Amino acid sequence: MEKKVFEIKDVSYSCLGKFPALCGVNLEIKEKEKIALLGANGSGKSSLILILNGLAFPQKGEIRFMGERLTEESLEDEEFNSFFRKTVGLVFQNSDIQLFSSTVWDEIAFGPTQLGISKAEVEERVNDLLEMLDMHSLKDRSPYQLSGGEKKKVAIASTLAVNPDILLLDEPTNGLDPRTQAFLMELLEELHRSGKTIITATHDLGKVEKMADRVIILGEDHTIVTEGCASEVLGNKSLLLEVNLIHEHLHRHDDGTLHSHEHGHFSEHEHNHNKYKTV
Amino acid sequence: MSYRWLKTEGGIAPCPCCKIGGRKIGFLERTLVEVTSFFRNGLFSEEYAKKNGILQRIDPRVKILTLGILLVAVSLMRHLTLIGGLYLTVLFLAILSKIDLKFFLPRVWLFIPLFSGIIAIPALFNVFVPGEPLLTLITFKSKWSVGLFEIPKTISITKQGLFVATMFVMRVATSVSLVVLIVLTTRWQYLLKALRVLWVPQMFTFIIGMTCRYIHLLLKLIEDIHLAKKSRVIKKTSVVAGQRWVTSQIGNILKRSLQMSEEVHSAMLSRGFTNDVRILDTFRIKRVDYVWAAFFILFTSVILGFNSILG
Repeated sequence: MEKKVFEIKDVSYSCLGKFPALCGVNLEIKEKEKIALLGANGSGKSSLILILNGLAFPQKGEIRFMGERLTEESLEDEEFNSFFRKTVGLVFQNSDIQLFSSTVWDEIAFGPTQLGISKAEVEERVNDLLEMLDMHSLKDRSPYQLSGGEKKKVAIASTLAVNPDILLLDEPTNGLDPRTQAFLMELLEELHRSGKTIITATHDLGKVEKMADRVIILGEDHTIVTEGCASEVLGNKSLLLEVNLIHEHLHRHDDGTLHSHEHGHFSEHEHNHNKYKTV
Repeated sequence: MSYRWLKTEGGIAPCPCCKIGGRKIGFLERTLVEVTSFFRNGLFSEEYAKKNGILQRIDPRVKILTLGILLVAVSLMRHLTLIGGLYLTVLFLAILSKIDLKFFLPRVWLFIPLFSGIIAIPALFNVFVPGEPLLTLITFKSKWSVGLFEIPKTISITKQGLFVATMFVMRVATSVSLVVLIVLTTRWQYLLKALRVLWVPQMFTFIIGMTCRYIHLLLKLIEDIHLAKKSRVIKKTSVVAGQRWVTSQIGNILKRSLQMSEEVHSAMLSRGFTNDVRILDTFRIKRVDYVWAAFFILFTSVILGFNSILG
């Protein structure tokens, strides 16, 4: 039986105190789980990720990490803060926000250095990550000299350098080219196999089955609508339509027949059209 | 598409009214382009820092320390010939560091009249520095007073005043040249790191580093906003409308930069930052650094020795 790492009880959170982002959310996350948080834009995925990373705090309800209450006060405790930051890492949606150091090397070294890891160990970690992500040639570059995909890789490396047991990712595939997306998927799979808990916020339905074993859907009313195994949740088309994750698509084929089906807003048309075509 | 106004009727016809080449790039656009290009190419391009010159090979800490000692020596010099000699040494170092003098000299001399000239010019006149007149400018009927100042009967440029002003300008020029030389031959990140290692408060250098990093982001943002506006502007707007737009965008960018600062702080907290920056010192001193340091300390001592012998 795996340990519970996060317990979220009746959590409500509003951005700037007036725009609701989460309403009465209850959730348990266990060690070594691979979870996808699905939801339309503005459903509260990013807010939930920030709360899980101790960067935002609910106005109502409570969140516990390894049994301890996660609050602004508890994170002021140096030992608990260090333990929490070493255990939970976050890859932000906007890489520009995450990359604040002057070079790629310094950026990757920032996290472990802040956590008091020895110089030799930091150097080893940075060099290993540069090799793993094939970024040695970029090590002296400034973040503004990188492409979008390279920035995302550096952002991931900078989070991995801390070696967190729990990895939170906010829309990691956004704006990435197909090759970088495939690389990222493989990397996440490998990290999960190595024992890490992976929690990914996304609305990319095409990647969910690879990203997660368990799927949690947030509705446009900022509540958890359903949760379950990926294939089961993704099979529920009417629910996906209801929460605005797919839409009904109507198009005419070469033979003039009208055909309607559902697909995700952001994924490719994956169904086979050949059976409708006249030869 | 059900809206009448959203339809394209007929083909795209050639423009009946405008003449190509009639409108020139406006002041705002030119300023934006120049400012962006100054920061990108002038300040952060690191073109000279990447060259294989003498100063680029020296460890940044050793370079800052030795040139810093020379900077102190410049302020102690009392002889114009020695300061002139030091200035020539700086120019020689710039050449050895493969810096184009056509690029280097304007950077220094553009700012000298602006900052030191204003202070030095009054010193030329006998009103402030009395002495042997070189050139008489105005002769009054008698001397008179303005507040605490006594204006002499003749206002002239004095030999002593010229010496004081020249000394001051040369000191500033040599000091600024030394600083420009350090900045041009050292990559930004190494310069900041070296300053941190050399006991400059970490928080100070960390904030400068982050400022450099986010100047790029904000410049990109300003550029994008400007281009977005440009792509939708059909006719020339009035000066007042232009001013209003610029004012509203200043507020908009301030709001965005505040939001960005909060998000960046969150990203730092997420990776263990606790308002106490820890840094990794990865510099290694080589033999060339020891040779350079020894030579420079000797050179500075000789110059200071000459300065005291000459009195």
